[in-house]
Amino acid sequence: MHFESFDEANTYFTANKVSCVLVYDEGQGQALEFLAQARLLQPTAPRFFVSKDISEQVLLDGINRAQVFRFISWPITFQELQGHIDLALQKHSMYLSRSLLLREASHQNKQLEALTNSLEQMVEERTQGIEQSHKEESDKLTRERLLLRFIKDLGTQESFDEMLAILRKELRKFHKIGDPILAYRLDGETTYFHAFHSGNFSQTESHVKFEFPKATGVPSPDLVRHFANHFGRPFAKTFVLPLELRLTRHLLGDKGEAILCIENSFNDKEMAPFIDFMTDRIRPLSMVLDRVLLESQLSSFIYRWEKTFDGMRDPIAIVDIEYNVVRANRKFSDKFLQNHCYESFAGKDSICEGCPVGQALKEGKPHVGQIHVGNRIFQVHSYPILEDQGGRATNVVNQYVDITQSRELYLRMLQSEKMGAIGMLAGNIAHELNNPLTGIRSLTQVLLHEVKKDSTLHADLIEIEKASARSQRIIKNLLDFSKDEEQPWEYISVDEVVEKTLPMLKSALRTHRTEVDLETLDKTVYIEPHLLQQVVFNLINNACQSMKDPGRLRVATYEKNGEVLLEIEDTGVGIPQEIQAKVFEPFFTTKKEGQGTGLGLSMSKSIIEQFGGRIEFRPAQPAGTCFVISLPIKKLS
Amino acid sequence: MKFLIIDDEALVRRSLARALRAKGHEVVEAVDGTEGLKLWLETQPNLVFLDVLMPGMTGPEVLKSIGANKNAKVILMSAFSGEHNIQTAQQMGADLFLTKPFEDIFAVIAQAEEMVA
Repeated sequence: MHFESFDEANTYFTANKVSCVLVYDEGQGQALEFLAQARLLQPTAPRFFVSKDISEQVLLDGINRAQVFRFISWPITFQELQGHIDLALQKHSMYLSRSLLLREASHQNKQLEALTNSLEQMVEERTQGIEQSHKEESDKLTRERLLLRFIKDLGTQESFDEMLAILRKELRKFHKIGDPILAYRLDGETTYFHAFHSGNFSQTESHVKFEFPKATGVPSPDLVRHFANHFGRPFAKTFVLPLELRLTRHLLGDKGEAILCIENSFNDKEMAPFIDFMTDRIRPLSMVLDRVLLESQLSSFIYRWEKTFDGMRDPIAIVDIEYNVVRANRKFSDKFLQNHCYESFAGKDSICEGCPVGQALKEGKPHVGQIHVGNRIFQVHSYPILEDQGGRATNVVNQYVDITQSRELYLRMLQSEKMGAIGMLAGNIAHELNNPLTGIRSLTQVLLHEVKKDSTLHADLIEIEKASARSQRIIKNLLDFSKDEEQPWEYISVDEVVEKTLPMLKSALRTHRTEVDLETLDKTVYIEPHLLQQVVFNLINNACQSMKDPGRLRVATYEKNGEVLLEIEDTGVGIPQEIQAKVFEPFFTTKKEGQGTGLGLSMSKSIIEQFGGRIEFRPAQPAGTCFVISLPIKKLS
Repeated sequence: MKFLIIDDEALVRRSLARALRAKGHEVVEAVDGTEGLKLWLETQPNLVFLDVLMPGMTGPEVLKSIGANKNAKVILMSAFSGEHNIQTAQQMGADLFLTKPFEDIFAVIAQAEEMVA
């Protein structure tokens, strides 16, 4: 374009892009000013300064201010100008393409930068995410580790105090929180409170009935009021957690409940972690409380059972199949407790005679037996313990009832009843026999008067009279012997008593040879005759029974050192060494059940001692036993 | 003299009767209490030997029945010495109490004769 004035050119130039600018200078400086302006507006368009006169100052200003591409001195040929312009255009297009390239490059640069930025951001975000989850994981781990430690700590605790102390320690990390209070009931009547009272543990109880909440949370005002009443102080905001006592309830037949009460002043935001914390711990706490309660219940059960058994009068023991004592009450184990029941209880080295344990175990049914321990007799009740239905019993409970006294009474009663019956029988027989005997003897006496003194008939009648007289005496002795009422003491010779007794033993003595050697008819002792008769009867009867084969019985009396000694000696089996100490004990017998009461020798001993005498025995030679009774000689003054 | 013997034991009656008759006394025998009571009233004896234990009427029962009509001496005899003694016998109205068996029957006869002499 071609413009005559700079204003026109300026207007165009500001609105349109050009490839190059060519200015003709008329020497007023306007041309250079325009070019300087053009440089600012379109620096890529090469600038030509054409002038007739190009001074050095113009050159300097043109280069400095407008970066003139070419200074052209006017006039100039067209070809020359054409060459300059081509060069300029070439340069311009070079400029243009370079700037395009530059622009493209910078654009791409910018895009690249944006991409880098977003990438960095992504990396940053990812890193943050990882860090976050890492922290969460470690938090969770810490929480679980704490919980584990809590459970471990609780696991070793034996009491409510220790359990509450651990919980209190754990709760300290929450601020604005009170000490935990444990309340529980076992029978629905008494409520036990375990709490801290100014730092120390305290246990209290209340008989006021109120409902325990069934769910975790803020309790009813009713419950808070009960707590406040019980502890005598106001209760702030509280949180209550029921504890489940599964085993205790099972043991106590669905009774047993417990709650944990924790005072706090949390706001809603602080409440959540606390609830989380407690939710984690409520099961372990329940289990520990359950265990502690169960243990205390069990030990009190065991204590009660032990006291029950120890309080019983009779010895009681649990005995196994090998006769080992599994458990025993105090009465049983007063003595040193040994493995086997017969060692511990009876001091024997083998199973007691009459022991019912074997039978009870075999049949699985209770059995009763009698055993002798020393001079006591025990009735043993064996109750088998059947662990499962239909299984074999491997243990029995033995109850040992001391029946010594009642048996003694029973046997004495039996004895006296027997004696009473014999007495009555003897009385009746005596009456029945006495009547005809009276007739026989009296009639004989009458006839004796009527026959001649030297006739055979007289001699016969004499014999009849004698025999009936002897019969009368035997009957009288029998009557005296069996009389149960107290008889008077008499001064009497032992020989007389022996002679009265021997006829009653005729049948026992029949098979044996009897040697009677009595030398103290003139010596009297002061005794009750029919009792001494009983003793003599007993000793001779025993002597006869000890001789299974026909033997020899020697009955002798003699005087020695102011005493009458009566010896009754047999040639029987003798008394074995091991039972010699026991023969005078009541109820000691070697005879079969029902054949002897075991009272004979003990009664004899007490009778003789009552008379101020002694009864002893020594082995006889070559075999047998010799019983010796010594009685002091006493004369009627 | 007239003697009544009330005893269920034949040998006792026989021996007493024989001994008494030998001495020239009149003897009436009764085998039990009932017959004894009847004969006592009928024969009016001087002395009665009376056994305690008899079938039917016992000796003490006979004594009770005779009551105030008793006009004879009575010797009560018992083989069962535990039950009676001279005191109880006298309370029942007897004059003498003898335990059987007798040691000597002639001693008994002598005692009886003395009582009615």
